[in-house]
Amino acid sequence: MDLTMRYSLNGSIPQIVRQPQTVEEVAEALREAAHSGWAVVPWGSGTHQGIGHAPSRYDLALDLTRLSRVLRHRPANLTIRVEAGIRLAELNALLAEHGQWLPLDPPFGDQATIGGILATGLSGPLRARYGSARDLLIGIRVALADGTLIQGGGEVVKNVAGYDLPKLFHGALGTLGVIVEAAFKLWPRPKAEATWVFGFLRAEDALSLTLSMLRHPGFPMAVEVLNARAWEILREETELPADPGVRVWVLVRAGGWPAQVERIGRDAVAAASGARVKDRLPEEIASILWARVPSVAILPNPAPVEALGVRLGLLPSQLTEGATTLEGIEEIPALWRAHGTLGLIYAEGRGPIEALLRWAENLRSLALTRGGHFMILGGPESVKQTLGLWAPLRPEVEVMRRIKAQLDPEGRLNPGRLGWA
Amino acid sequence: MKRAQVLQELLEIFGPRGVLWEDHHLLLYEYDASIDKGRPDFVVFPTSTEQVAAAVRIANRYGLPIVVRGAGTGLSGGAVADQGGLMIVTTRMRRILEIDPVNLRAVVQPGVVNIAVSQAAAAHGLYYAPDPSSQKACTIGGNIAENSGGPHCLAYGVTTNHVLGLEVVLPDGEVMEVGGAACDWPGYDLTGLIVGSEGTLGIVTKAVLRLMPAPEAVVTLLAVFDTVDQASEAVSAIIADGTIPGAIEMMDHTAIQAVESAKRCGYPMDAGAVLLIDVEGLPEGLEELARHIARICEHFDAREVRIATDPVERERLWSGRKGAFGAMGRLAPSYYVQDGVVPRDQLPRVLRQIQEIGQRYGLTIANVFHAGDGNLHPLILFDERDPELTRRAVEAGAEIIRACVEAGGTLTGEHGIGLEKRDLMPLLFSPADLEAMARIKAAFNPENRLNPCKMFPSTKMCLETWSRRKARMAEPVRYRVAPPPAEMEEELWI
Repeated sequence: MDLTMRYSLNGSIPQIVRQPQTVEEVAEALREAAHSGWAVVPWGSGTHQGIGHAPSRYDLALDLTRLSRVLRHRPANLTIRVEAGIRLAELNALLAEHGQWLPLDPPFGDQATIGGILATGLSGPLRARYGSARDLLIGIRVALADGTLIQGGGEVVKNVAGYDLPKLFHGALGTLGVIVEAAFKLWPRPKAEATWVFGFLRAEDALSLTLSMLRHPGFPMAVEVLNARAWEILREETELPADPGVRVWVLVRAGGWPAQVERIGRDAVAAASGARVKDRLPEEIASILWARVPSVAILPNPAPVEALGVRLGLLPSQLTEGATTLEGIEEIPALWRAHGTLGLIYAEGRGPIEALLRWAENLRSLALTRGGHFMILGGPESVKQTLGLWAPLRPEVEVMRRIKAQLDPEGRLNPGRLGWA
Repeated sequence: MKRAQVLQELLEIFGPRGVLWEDHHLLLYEYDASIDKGRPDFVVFPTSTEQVAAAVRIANRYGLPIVVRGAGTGLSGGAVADQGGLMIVTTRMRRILEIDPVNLRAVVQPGVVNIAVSQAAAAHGLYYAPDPSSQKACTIGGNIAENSGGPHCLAYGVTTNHVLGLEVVLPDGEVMEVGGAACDWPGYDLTGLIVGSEGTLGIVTKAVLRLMPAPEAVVTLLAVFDTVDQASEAVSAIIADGTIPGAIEMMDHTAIQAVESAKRCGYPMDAGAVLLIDVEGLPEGLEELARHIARICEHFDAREVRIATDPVERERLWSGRKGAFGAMGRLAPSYYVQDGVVPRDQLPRVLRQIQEIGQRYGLTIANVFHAGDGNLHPLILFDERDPELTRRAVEAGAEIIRACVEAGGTLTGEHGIGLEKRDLMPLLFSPADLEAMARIKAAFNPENRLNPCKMFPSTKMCLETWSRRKARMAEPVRYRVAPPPAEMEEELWI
C-alpha cells in the first residue's frame, strides 16, 4: 500500500509523508514545508485525527511516532521528559518498574501517543483524582510552523518563569505548533485499589452518589457514569453485573492506603442508597474494565457513516439534564459516559443524519442554556459544517485567531481544523 | 497630554475618593514587597468591571501605561509602576459573588483576599487550596497574575490548577470571558495562558475558582536534623518513596535561630534543619502514613520526630514557618528573598552551593522553603541602607538563581519574574522562546500598554528606567529624600 494512504483524512491524501526520528529532523521537515508552502498535519497514532474539521489543505503528513525516546526520568523527583511520539502504554510500562505512573487514561490509550494526547486534550476517568494532562504537563518543546524550536516550562514541578506555554499547546489540536517533547510530573501508584459498581433505575439517584464523591476528602480515583447501552458494550468485554431495569451505572474507583480505599468504598455504598445493584468488582475484572471504559462512547477514526460523537461540558449537578437530552430522540439510541465529578459527558449517536442533527442541536442548546459548552468530537464533515464545531463561540475566538496568526502566520499547521484557524 | 485633562476624566468616572494623583498619596503606591520602586502618575480604585474598562480606555486615549495592583504583596516588582502611568488597584472589587457548594465552585472579584475564599467556603466544609504565605493579605487577582503557590501546593497544585474561568478586560477596553464553571472549554486554553502572565495579557475582573473538600484530619510532623544535607536527603527519599504529603517545608539553622527568638514555637535552637510535614485527608490510615514518613526521616538520621495531631500543637509548629520571613528582622534590617526551583533530587547539592555563595559574598543566608516542591526561598540578609551590601545581596541572588538553573531548575516557582528577574530570563529561554512569548503577548497586548517592561528582558524603552533603578538602589537612604514637586501641567513623559 502506498504510504500516503495510511494518512488519509476525510478522503484526502497527503502528497508527502515524513517520519522524522529526531527533533532536528522535525524542524528540518517543517523548514522544508515552509519553503514549499505545504500545509502540515502532525500525526501520532491517528486515533483522534477525526477531531475538528478535516484540514482544508493537506500536503505533508508529519508522523512523529518514531520520535519515541525517554529523554530523562528522575525517579526521585517524580518527573519525566519524553519525546512526543512515545506511546502512553509504553511509558507507563516503564514507569511501573519504579512504582510510578503518568496517571492518564484517554480514549484508545493503548495506542495513543503523548503528543496526540496533549494536542487533543482528551482526558479519561482518572482525571477525577489526578487532573488532566493539562495539570500534569510541566514542560513542553514545540516546533513552530517555520521549524523554529521553542520550549516552555521545564522539569520542575513548580515554575512561573515566562508564559505558561504548556497550557497553550495543550488541546490546540496541532494548530499552533508540533509538540516534539513533553515533561510531566508523575504520581506514585496507589498502594491499594478497589472498584465498586452501582446500578440505578433513575439518573437522579446516580447523581446523589456522584455529587457525594465530588466532595469526598478521600478523592476517589474515578467516578464514571455510563448509560445502559454503554454498559452493554463493557459487558461484551468482561463479566459484569447485568440488570434490565438499570438505566444508569456508576463506577467508583478508589486508591490509596488500604484503610482509605475501604473507607471510600463504604461511603460510596452509603451514598448509593437508591442503587439496585451494589457490587465490589474482583480485581482482574476491574483491571480489564478500566482499560476499556475510557474508549466507550468515543467514535474511532475514521468514524462510521451515520454516526456522531460529541462532548458536553456541564456542571456536575447538571448530569441528569444531560442524560435526559441525550436519550431524548428515539431514532438515536445514544451511548453516553460521563466523568461524574467533572460534568464532562461523552456521547455517541448512530442513526439517520437528519435525526443526528436534531439530537446534536438539542444537546447544543442544552449546553448553551446551562452555561456550558458543546463540541463535536467525531462524525461526518457535513454535520460539523452545518452545526459548527463547538458552541458557544465567544469573543475570545478573536484572541485565539490572533494567537494563531502570530505563531503560524501562513496558516499552514492543520489549516481549517478549528473552523476559524 | 496634560495631567489635568487625564485627572479630569478619571475624576468623572471614579469621583474624588476613587483617584489618587498627589505625590504624597502616590508615594504609597510606588512599591510592592520587592526591592523595586516606581511611582505611578495616577491611581484609581474601580469597583466594577465597567470602571476597569473605562480606566483602560482613558489610559489608551492618553497613551498611559497600565499597571494593575492587588494588595501589593508581590515579591518580584510586578505591581511596580516603573514606567509611571495609570495604576488600577483592585482592592475595592472584593465581593465573593457566589459559592456553589454542590459543584465546588466559587466566583469572586479580583480584590478578594485569598483566605476570605476559604473562610466563605468553610461553612460548607470546603476550602480554596492554594495558600501563599501572604494569604491573609494577598488577593485572588494577584494570585492569578503570579500563578501563586504555597506550602500545600505540593499535593494539590498551584493557582492555575484551581482557576476554571476568568472575565478579563483586554488592553483595548473590551471585556472577554475565557473558560468558565464547566471544564475543558473548546479552543485554546486562554485561561491557562492568562494565569501567571503577570498582568501583561489582560486585567482579571472576575474568576471562577475550584473549591476542595476540607481534609477530615491532619497530622503534622516536625523532624529535627543535625544538618541540612540530612534533611534534604530525607525530602528526596519521601518523594521517591511515592508518598506525597500535603506539605513539606524546611527551615535551616539560621532560620530556626530567627524564628525561635521571635516566636518560641519549639524548634531546637541547635538543630541544623527542621522539616515540617503535613499529612492529611481521611483519618483512616493517616497515622500509619505519618509513622511511615517518620521512619524515612529517622533513616536519614533525624534525631527527633514529633508527631502532632492536636490542632493547637500543630498550629504552634506551623506558626514558626508562617512567621519566618517576619522573624528575619531579628537577624538583619533587610532580606532579599529568591524563589528558584530545583529538581528535588538536587536539593542537597544546591543548598550547599547557596551556603557557599553566601560565604563568598560575606552574607548570611537563611533558608525557609517549600522543600517538597524543590522550591527554594533563600533569604539573603543585608542592610539596604548600605549600598555595598545591597549590591552584594542582589548579585548573590542572581548567582543563586544561576545555580538553580544549572541544576535543571528554574528562575522562579511562585513569585514571578516581574522587574526583578526579567534580565535573567535568557538563562532559561532562548531568543526563539522569548520571541514566541512576545508574539503571544502581541496577540493580547499589541501596544504593550499593560504592565510594560515586566517579565521579559529590558528593551530600549525600559532601559532608561532600569538605569534609574540601579542608581536609586545605590542611594544610601531610600525614603528620606523628598521627590521634586510635580507640576500639574507637566508633560507626561511616555
